Amino acid sequence: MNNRLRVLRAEHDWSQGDLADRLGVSRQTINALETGKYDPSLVLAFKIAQLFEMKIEEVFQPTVEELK
Amino acid sequence: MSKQNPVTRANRIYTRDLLLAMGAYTVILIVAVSWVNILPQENNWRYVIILAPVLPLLIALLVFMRWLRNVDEFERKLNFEAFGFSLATTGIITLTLGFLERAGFPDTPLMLVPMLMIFLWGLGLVIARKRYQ
Repeated sequence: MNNRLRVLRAEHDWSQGDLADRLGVSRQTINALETGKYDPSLVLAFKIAQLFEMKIEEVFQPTVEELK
Repeated sequence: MSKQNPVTRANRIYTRDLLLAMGAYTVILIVAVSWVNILPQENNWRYVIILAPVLPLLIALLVFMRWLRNVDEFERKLNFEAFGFSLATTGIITLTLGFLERAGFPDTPLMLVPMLMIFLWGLGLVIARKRYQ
């Protein structure tokens, strides 16, 4: 799953720790999400989208392979 | 931000409570072993006294389960992978030792098994964290 988390975080001038605190997760979780190594649960994905006031699909985009 | 991160809070409470439980375990273990050593062999209270250190271990288990419920989903995933690694590896190692014992290899003390599981859980966590870095 591709995501725009790193870009959105930079736009808000937040560190990984700031974003982690806002979402109630660890900094390691943010790092794993940003590097695309971990796909969040639906609940966390919605929380992230809500935080950035965006639709979930504007933050997360599945890869072509995942949609096959 | 005034509200503390729930993961940070869970980690802080876990560290504090686990240290307390393991401190109690150490004290109770020392007292229990010393006490049992001076009791006569025919005294059945020996069994009760030597089992006393299990109580703080059960408290440590509850502390750990509470921590696991309170950390975030990614940390739970890492721990799930580490537990799987620990369980499977401990199974293979103990089975291998069992086969060797059939051929005359010295018996392995059962008390080493949980220590092995904990060690392999830690190793599994290191491996899992590296995979997701």
